[in-house]
Formats: sequence, structure tokens, C-alpha cells
Amino acid sequence: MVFEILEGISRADIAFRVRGRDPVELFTAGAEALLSIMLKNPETVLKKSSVSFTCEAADLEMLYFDFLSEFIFHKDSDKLLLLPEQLAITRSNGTYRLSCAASGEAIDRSRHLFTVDIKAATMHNLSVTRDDTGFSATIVVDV
Amino acid sequence: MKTGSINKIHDYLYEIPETYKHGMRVPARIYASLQLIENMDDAVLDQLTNVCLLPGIMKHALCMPDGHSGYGFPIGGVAAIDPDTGVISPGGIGFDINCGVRLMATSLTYDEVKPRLKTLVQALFNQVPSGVGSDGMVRLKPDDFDEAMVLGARWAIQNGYGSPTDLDFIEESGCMKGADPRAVSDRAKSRGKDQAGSLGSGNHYLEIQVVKEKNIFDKKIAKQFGIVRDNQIMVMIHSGSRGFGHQIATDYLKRFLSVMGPKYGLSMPDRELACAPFHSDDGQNYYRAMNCAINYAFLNRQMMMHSVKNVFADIFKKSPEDLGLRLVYDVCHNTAKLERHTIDGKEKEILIHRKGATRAFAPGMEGIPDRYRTTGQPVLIGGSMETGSYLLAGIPSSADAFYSTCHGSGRVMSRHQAKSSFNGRELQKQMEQRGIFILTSSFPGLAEEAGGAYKDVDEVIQATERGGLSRAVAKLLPIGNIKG
Repeated sequence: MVFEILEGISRADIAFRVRGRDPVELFTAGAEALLSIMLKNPETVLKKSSVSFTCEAADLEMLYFDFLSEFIFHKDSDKLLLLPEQLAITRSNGTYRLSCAASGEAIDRSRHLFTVDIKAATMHNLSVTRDDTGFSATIVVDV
Repeated sequence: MKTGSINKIHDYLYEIPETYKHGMRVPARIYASLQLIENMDDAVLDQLTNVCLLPGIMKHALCMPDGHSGYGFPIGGVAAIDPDTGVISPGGIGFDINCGVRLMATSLTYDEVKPRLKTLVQALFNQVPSGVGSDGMVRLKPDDFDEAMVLGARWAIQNGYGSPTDLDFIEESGCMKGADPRAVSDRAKSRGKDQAGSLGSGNHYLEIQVVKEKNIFDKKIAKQFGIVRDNQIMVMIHSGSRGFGHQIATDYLKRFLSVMGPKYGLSMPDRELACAPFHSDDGQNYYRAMNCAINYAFLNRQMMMHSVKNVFADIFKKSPEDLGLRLVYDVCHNTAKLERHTIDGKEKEILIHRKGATRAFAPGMEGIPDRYRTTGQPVLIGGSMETGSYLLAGIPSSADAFYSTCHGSGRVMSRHQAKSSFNGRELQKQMEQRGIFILTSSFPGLAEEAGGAYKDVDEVIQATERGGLSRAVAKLLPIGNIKG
């Protein structure tokens, strides 16, 4: 698990950055960071349930925003803690498309030790950038 | 915050002129001491002056004394928008729509509660759902949910959670008009269906407080607000619209971003300031959905208050009435509301965005309960769990601030910094030694809420009073707290 908590961006909430060699690795790292920020023991989340979803956006930043928002939605709506199992990101006609099969399990408060609840992804300082070594994504999440 | 570009109006009010940034339609003002301003993060200045770019903004954009950076608007941000020519922006309301504070009075004294404090806090912790993944007090079926988001606290009372007289002591009588479930996405309804009647997490809490005579600053108003004796016990709830409100904010933030340029020809320098003309279809849909979330938060706090009453009755073996348990007031601090204000001598209906700011109507104004007509509206300021909270009253001089005031003490430390500086379990022990018994679902979360992570609430209230925003009535000291 590699993510970096960024100071100086948000006092009340949490900013973090992940990196990846390609968008799939980057987005996967983002979802893993989300779970690791919320849980003290993310390794205790078992693969008992699965959820599939798709997202579309005009750029990678909005796609990343939508992708992380899906995990937050399922955490509240179905009480599911999820990680991506299979992820594909394509681009055609100027639109990025993502399909994700995620797996995980329902929140078990006797086993899952929450550090914080992430309630929303925000667009504050949202960025997905590319350099010589790959991709980097920064996001602030509302807690 | 660097203060070089800020002009002093008086010791507790500073102005950033329209010339500061290209496109500013009005100046920005910060109600605070210079020291509080210097301790605000630099982003406050940028965010507050961005608010001045919003179409339809009137008079000035404001930042309250507890201000710190947020998304789009700073926390503590207030903007008055002409609804006929201007916009509505979810970034001026916040993700947790109608996050707010509710205060109850009791006739109990500290001496009566102290021997049972741990039992009481433990029972509240058991009975009031808190923390991530907890179920609310009721699972809302689709038809019930639609009705609940239209009726707000009224729905809770119709379903057995409280008394109709409670409605008199809730901002907007606990029910915002103009809520329309058709403007709310299925995703928002799905997130909210299981969370009604739950505290949540983060900086949300349920606190048992004591009022010491030395901390009653205006005895006459305090009496009218229900504070009548030394060491009187009060109960405060700080919570909001849970995942329901967050999803509505997310849905419309995305929607506004996609339409503001192509459909309305609008552009803002920050995506979190996405907006739409108030009277457009998009603007009205957001307003209808936001009102649903406001109502959800009202019913949420109403249901939790009902549980608090039951717990007190069970522990003290008396009815809530015999324990003097009554609602003092319930305020919102993340809303946009249509209110009548006088600007440049003309009274007009204006859309007031308050994000981390509280409405503070002055004596005699419409919209406050008869009981408080001569005192001004009670204003509830949730401080940190270590240092205390405040009960204020609205005053006429806050007209310049569109009858707005602060909402809390405001963070000085990030959550990460706080976790590095404080240990949750140690903090719990230290607080218990100081007479504050606290239970939490998350010790790291407790560390994030340490008193040292917040501004000095006394300094914030001093600036609030001297800035002419509200009058301090009493300080409420924590003795028991449950955190999500």
C-alpha cells in the first residue's frame, strides 16, 4: 500500500496522493488508499461479495473522482467495503470509460476498526498528472 | 494568512477590496481579530475572494471568526445572492447539508448527574447509533422516505419521536418548504435509507454539558433560554444529513460542472464553486434536493433527541418532563435559504449561503419563536470536546453580516497533525481525570478532535461579540461526550 497524506491542502479533511505506472494501477492504488485511510486493519476485509460498476468521464480527473465516489457510495448504501478486483480503463472518441469488478464484504464493526469515515470525494485540488515515471493522482476526501 | 492586502475597518472587521482579484463583484470581509486572521490558512483568502466572483453576489462576501479553508467557499463563508440575477452553488453550502447543532436544557444539576455520569454516557453510547456502518433508528421505506424528506422533524414527531411543541424551537420549525423528492437521486436515497437517527462520525458528537454561574454572561437572556441555575446540565447534539446530504451535494456538483459553461455561459476558477442560475431548472432542482437534505438533518437530530430523553428517563427514573428535558433550539450551519434582508435601504428576498456559519436573527425578527422574540435567536456554537461550547443570541448589529455568525471554534491543526500530536486512548484518560467522560467508536478519530486541534473558542467568541455578530449568553463546559 503506497499512498501519501498531503499536509497543507485541507485542515478539516484529508488530502492524499497515489502513484501508478498506468491509470489502472493508479486508480487501484486510490481505492486501496481509501480503504486504508478508513480502516486501521484493511487486511481484515474478506472477499465475500462482489459489485460491478462502470463510469464515464471526459478526463482522467473526473473519472478518478467518479471511481472513488463509487466505493464511498457502496460503503453507505450497502455497507460494503470493497477493493477493485478487475479494472479496465479505455478511451475512445474523447471519452474515458471504466469498468470495475470489485469485491469485499459488509462492514463488521467487531472486526473492522475504523479510523475515520470518508463521506465524499471532492474536486478541491483534484489532479491526475503524468510524468516520466507514470501517473500521479491527488484528491481531498471529506471526512 | 498573509495580511498585506487586507484593510482594517475596525479591530474585529477587515476588508479585502474588489481590486484584489480580477472579476471580484464585491469586496470580501473577515470578522476576526488580526491574530485570528493571521492564524487562518492562506487558502481562506483565495477562497473568500473567489466567492466574490459569483454572479449575483451582493454587498460583500464574508468570513466568520472561526473561518478556515474549505472547498469552494471557506468554512465560515457567507454570501448573499440576488436570486433574480444570481446563482446557487453547492460549494457555498457544503457536503454535509444542514450540519447543525441542537441544545436541550434539563432541570438536573451537576451534583445529581455526576454519580451516574459514566452510566449515562454509556447508555447514550449504546442507544444513539454512532460511527461508521451503524444503522439508524429506523429503516426508511421509499414512500416513507419521500414523506420524511418533505416533512423533516414533523415526520419524526408524527412517527413518535418527540412532541409537536418541539417544532417551535427548531430553525424553520424543522421543515424547509420547497423540498421535492423528485429532485433527489436514487443513489442519495439509497445512502440515506438506513441512517436516519444516527450521529455519524468525524466532528459529530453528543455531549453532556454543565453551565456554571460564572459562565452565564447574560442572566436575563439565559433564563429565557432555559438556563436558570448554577451547575445546570445541558445536552448538545452536533450532526447533519449523513450520506444522504453528501450524495446530493456530489450529484449536483457534477451536474453543475457539466452545465454551467455550455448551458449557462458561467465559469468559475474553482470546480467546487460550480453553480447554476437560481431560477434555472438546474438551480431549482438543486434547491429542492438541498431542502430535502435540510429536512433529513432536522429529523435526524429530532430522533436522536428522543433517544436522549428516553435514556435520561431510564437512568434517573423520572419522565423527561419531570427532568425538565426540553429543546432550547436547533440551528443549521450549512444551508442556502431565501430570507428577507435590507440592502442599501431596500428590503428584498435574498439567497443567503452559509457554509460553517449560523443564522443569528435579532430580537423582533420574523422566523424566531415567540419565546425568544425579545431576546434574539439562540445561536449554538459547538466548540471542541475539551474546551466547551457557547450559547449566543442574535443582535441587530449583525444586519451587515446578513444576520450570520460563527458556528464552532474552527480547526488550526489538520487531522493528520492532530493524530501525530495526540493519542486517542491517552486523551480519553486525561479528559476523564479532568472530569470529562468520553466514549468513542474510533480512538484515532478522538485524537483528531482534541481541543488542541482547534482555535481557542473563547477568542473566537470574543471576536464574534466585538465584531457585532452576536451576544454571548453562556459557556457550556463538557462533562460527558460520545463521538462517532
